[in-house]
This record gives sequence, C-alpha cells and structure tokens, in this order.
Amino acid sequence: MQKIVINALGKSFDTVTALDDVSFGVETGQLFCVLGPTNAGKSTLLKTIAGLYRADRGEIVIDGETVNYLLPHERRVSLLFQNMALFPTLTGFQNIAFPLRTGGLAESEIKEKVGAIARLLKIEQILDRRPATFSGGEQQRVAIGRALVQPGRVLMLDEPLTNLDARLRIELRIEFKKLHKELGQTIIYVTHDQVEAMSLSDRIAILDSGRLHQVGTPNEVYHTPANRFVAEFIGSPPMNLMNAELNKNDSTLYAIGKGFAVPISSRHTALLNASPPRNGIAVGIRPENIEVSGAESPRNPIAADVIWVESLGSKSILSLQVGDALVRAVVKPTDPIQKERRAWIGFPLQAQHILDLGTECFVR
Amino acid sequence: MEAKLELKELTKRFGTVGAVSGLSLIAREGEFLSLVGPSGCGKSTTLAMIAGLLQADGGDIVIDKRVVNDLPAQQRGVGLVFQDYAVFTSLSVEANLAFGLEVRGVSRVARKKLVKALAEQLNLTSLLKRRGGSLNMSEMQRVALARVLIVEPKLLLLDEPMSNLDASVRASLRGELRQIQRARGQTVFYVTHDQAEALSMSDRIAVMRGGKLLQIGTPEEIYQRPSNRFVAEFIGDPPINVIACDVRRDGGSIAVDVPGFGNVAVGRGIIDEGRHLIGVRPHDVIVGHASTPGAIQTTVRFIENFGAEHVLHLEYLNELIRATTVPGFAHVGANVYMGFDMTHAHLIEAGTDRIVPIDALSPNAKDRH
Repeated sequence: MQKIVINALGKSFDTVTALDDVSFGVETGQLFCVLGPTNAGKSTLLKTIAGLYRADRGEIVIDGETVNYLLPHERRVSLLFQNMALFPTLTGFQNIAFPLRTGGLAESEIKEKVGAIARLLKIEQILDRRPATFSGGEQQRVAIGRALVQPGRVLMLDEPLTNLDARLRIELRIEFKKLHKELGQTIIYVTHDQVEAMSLSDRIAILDSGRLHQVGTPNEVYHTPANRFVAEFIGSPPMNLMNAELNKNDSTLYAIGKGFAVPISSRHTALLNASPPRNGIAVGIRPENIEVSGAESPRNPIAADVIWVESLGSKSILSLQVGDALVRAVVKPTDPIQKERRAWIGFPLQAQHILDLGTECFVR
Repeated sequence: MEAKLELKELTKRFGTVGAVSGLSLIAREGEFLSLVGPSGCGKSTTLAMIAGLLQADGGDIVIDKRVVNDLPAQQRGVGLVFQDYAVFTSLSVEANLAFGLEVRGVSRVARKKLVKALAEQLNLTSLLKRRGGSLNMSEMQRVALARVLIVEPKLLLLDEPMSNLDASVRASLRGELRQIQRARGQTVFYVTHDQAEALSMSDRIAVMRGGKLLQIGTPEEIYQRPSNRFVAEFIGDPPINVIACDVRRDGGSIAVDVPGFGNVAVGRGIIDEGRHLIGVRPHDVIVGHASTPGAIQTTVRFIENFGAEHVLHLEYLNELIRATTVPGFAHVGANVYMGFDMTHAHLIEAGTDRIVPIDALSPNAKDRH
C-alpha cells in the first residue's frame, strides 16, 4: 500500500524554484531516501510534506488522504532535523516520552514504550541524564528515539548522521538499518551521502536543483542510471564517462575517443541505429569493471598512464590518463600495477554504458 | 628526507584532563601525514599547539630544526585551515584569494595569474566574482582552503578542512588537494576523524586515542598490520569483524578455535592459552552457496548495498558477521555457508587488546573438531 504519494509538487521562494514537478510514492514500511547535493531542495521537500511550508502546486497524500490543507500536527508525520533539538532541562527518558504525553497514555504504558525504544537504540543507561551530558552519538540516538516512539507515523529524517564522526556514522548507519527492520516504520531519509543512501534504502530518489532525476532501488540507480547526473553522483569513485564518436567498421560499430577505440555491444548498436544520437556519445564504465594489466593484450588494448594511486585498505583506486581523460579503476590492494607508470586497460563489453550527449540520458 | 616537523614528548593538559600525553612523531619534508582518531582524542589540540594557538605544557615542537615553542603563531611559517573557514564576507572570492599574495607584496599581474590557475585547479572559476558572504558552506570551505594554498606555505596544517562538504565534493577534492601538494612538494599535517580520507591521501597515518599515539605507518601498514584492536577497528569500512576465539598451546605452536567453526588456524606465537579474539576483515569472510570444509551454515540477516560490492550481515551466535560479496550474491533470508580466510586475520590478546604477531598463521584442515 502507498503510505505517501507526492504528485507534481512545486515550491518556489521568490524567484528561486526549490521544487519543480516532483512526483514519487512511498510504500508502507519502506525506507525511502532522498539523495542530492547541497541546495537540491531536499530539506524543502521534507518541510513541505510536513506542512512547515505550503506547496505552491501539486498534491501530498498520506494514508490516502490529501493533506495539503492540514496543519503540521494533523499530518501524522514526524520530522527530525539535522540539528536535533532536545529539551535541555528534560532527561533522556522525558525527551523520548514527550510526544506520548498528549495521547492520554497511562504512565506504565509510556514507561514500557520508552523502555523498548531505548533498548533497541542501546541508550538505557543514559535515560536518567540530561542532554548536556550526552555525547554526539547519544544525542542523535535520543532524538531518533523520540521520533520513533510514535508508531504509525511517517518518520522523516533530515541528514541525521551528518554531524557525526565518520566511525560513529558507520556504526549508526548499520544500527539504523537494523532498527528499521525491527520496527518496520515508513521512513523518508534525506542525505547528500550516496553511500548512506545506497546501503540503507529500499528505494532512492535522486534530486538536483529541485528536479527528480530518477527513482529506483539501489541496484537500479547503480546499475541502470537514467542520466549523467545519476551516474556521476552514485558510486565512489563515480562512473567514468569518456566522450567518443561512433564509427562503423565492417559490420561492427565502434566508439572512438582520444586514446581508445572499443566495439559496441549488439544491444547498444540496435538502440543507436534506432535513434542515432545528434551530438555524439560518451562511453560509461564503472571503476570496478575496468580490467587493468601490466601488459598489452586483446583484452586490455588501451594504453594508460598511472597518475596516482589512492589506497583504501581493502582496495586501491588508480587514476589513469587515457588520451586527455582521467579514468579511475579499482584494483586489489596487492596488485603490482600500483607501482607501474604504464598500464593496459580494457572495458568488458557487458559492463559498458552508452550516454547520448544530446539528451544526457543513457541509451537503453 | 629531512624532518620538516618534529614533535618531542608533546603534552597538554586541560585542568586534570590529559588532552595530549607525550606525543612524539616526525613529518618528513614533502610528506602528507594524517593524524586520525575519534572526537576528543587530542588531534586538534596537537595541531593547535603546532600552529602556536595553544601553549604546550611539555615537550618540544621543532620546525625546520628550530624549536618554535615560544614563537608566536605568525612567525612559525605555517599555513592553517580549520573546519570553521575564514573567508572575508565583504570581498569577492577573487580578492579573498589574492589577499595573502598582496600582503606578501606579489605584483598585481602575478596575483591575477596565480588566482586564475588555482581557481581552475579547485573548480572555483565560476565563483571568482561572487562575494564571500554569498557562498554556501561548501563553497566557503573550498575558498578557505584555496586562500591558504595560494601562498604556498611549506608546512600546511589542515584541521578537518572538508567536514562541511558534500560527500561527492569531498571525494574529488581529496585527489585535487593531493595533486597540488605533490606538485609543490609541500609538507601537510592533516587532522581528520575520517579514516577513508586518511587512507586515500596520506603517505603515512598516525592513529591517536585518548591523547596518545597508538601507531604510525603507511596506509598499507596501518590497514594490514594494525598494532592493536582499536586501530584494527578504526581503520577500514566496512569495519573488521571481532570474534571470540580459544587458543590452545602445544610447545611453541598454537591452535585457534572459534566456537561453531572449530579449529580455524594454527601458527607460532607468544600468547597465553584461553579465551581471546580474532579480527577478520569482511573481505576475508568467505561466503558460498555450498558446504566447504571449515564453513558453517548461516542466514543473511540484512545487506548493505555499496553498488560495486554488497556487505552481507550473517547470523553468528548472538552477533552478526560482515562479509563483502559481489552484487547479487545472496538475498536477505538466504541460507549460505561462511568460513574465514585466516591468512590476513589478527589475533587479539584479551585484556591488553594488543595484536599478537603470529608466525605462519594458516588454516589447518587436519585438526578440525
């Protein structure tokens, strides 16, 4: 069942368009990420759904009911900001229990609910303390607990892990995923971090300058990105995109760019013949799909200079110069190629993506 | 390589709290040295003392073979960039970048040329005419970094200079910063809580905790041969699995048993018999669809999708074990078999959290229970 439906939502501030024709649906129990760079319109989207901003156009439907004209507290959503405001004079327990106080629950019930959430979040030991004594991670957990304590509501989180230490972020990211599995709440989660979005979500919406580029599962947005923006935003390092011209030789279609020439798959050839691109193409390949070797071979025919190497422990990232383009490839940490100046690389046919430079969309 | 910066037994206390305790290290000329650790480990305090913003309580700071403990900040010849950027809000970005050059008496023509070149390198060209005050946080942070880079200090001190940037901007700036530093032969002392940043940029990494230096080495050394449990767990994403094990001794030989798995490895090393821990990186957890010697059956509880690879969280007693696999290897709820590649595993001594060097640690198929 669709818990939330956003239909052609638009919002402007004076002359600036913050949201432009945004549409998507979130199923009950889904963890749905809105991913995009700074100023994409992510926070505006959350605030408009929550009712803190009024939508200029479009419709917001929660549980089958259009809520455009409902007050924030009538919309059955909880919004947690990046700087979570805990009540400084209340204890951890009182902070989490706060939203329950208006519901006419018995004290014993409140105790039980807060206790259960605190157990999941591993913050039982700080319930009697005040926020001033909490660490950054503890504050974040209490704030998340306060948002989670009301079941049935849609939980909306705005960059909840952004201000934390990298290590704590990794830890909380995993815990958050576990928590969502246990509680099964519908969550809309805003982040600029594609790793967070990929690893947490059931589905991801990629937003930039107020417009949606793509909505899909992590696998869909990673393996079949809609356009250049998505391909370059998702993945670390992102997809390599190298400009090329199409050239027919015998019966095979080739992509020829500066410093490389690669055959194009029969699937892509058929698509390109059906609608020929007007401004040329770019060949796209993920860094982990590039084959790297120390010697020239039919599999690895493209000459590349090794510019620099980034070691990430479990893998190394090579930056390679091919023609005038910088290409990044992922290799094993033990790969001897890292010490070389010269490498020979290959792009496996099945891993190629073809971008139409006229439309900036991938040929599919 | 000459030592550019040397810290000798550097110490700082705040009241009764030891923020930095007897820290000694050397940054060589032209080296990119990162100081990593969690919040409150003393890394920013260390940097502030080097910069001259904080007075050390003990020890020496040596820059270019000169003890600078009593020199004021501006005479130490260091460039400094903080998490909280310093940008003139009423000046254009161009004027912000040119400011340091002007103070140093660089001619107008040369200033223009230098500003243009660096702006191109750091993707700031489109911002040059904008006023400092009109920039967003991420733009300001890049301008702040450029302002310091442009005067080419020989020793550059950076304190989380990328913390306010979007993840994607951060990843590309890492490479740019590294290239600029390399090309100019600058020495960089880089403070960060982000191990990925440290691993990808540094010549060497110093890991700090509770005011003390735990280990210093190249990224490979720190990742492959951590000296203790904290370093092993702090470095690497997804984090290393730490699992209880039992050590049996027979002369100089030891056998490592893991509950459920039986004997996983034998080797030679100095460690007491009894309950200890092993550390196994997610890449070294071998997952298969069919039973193999030494593997046990388990269930996939959940999956973290990182695009190029998927991390399975596998049920094991009351814990979860992380295993890195290729995309699409298994779905949530699937029954799979897991075993360990012990070649790169670490034996962690209970109580001390020290990683015990084991010679010839190898899987032992004969000695299974």
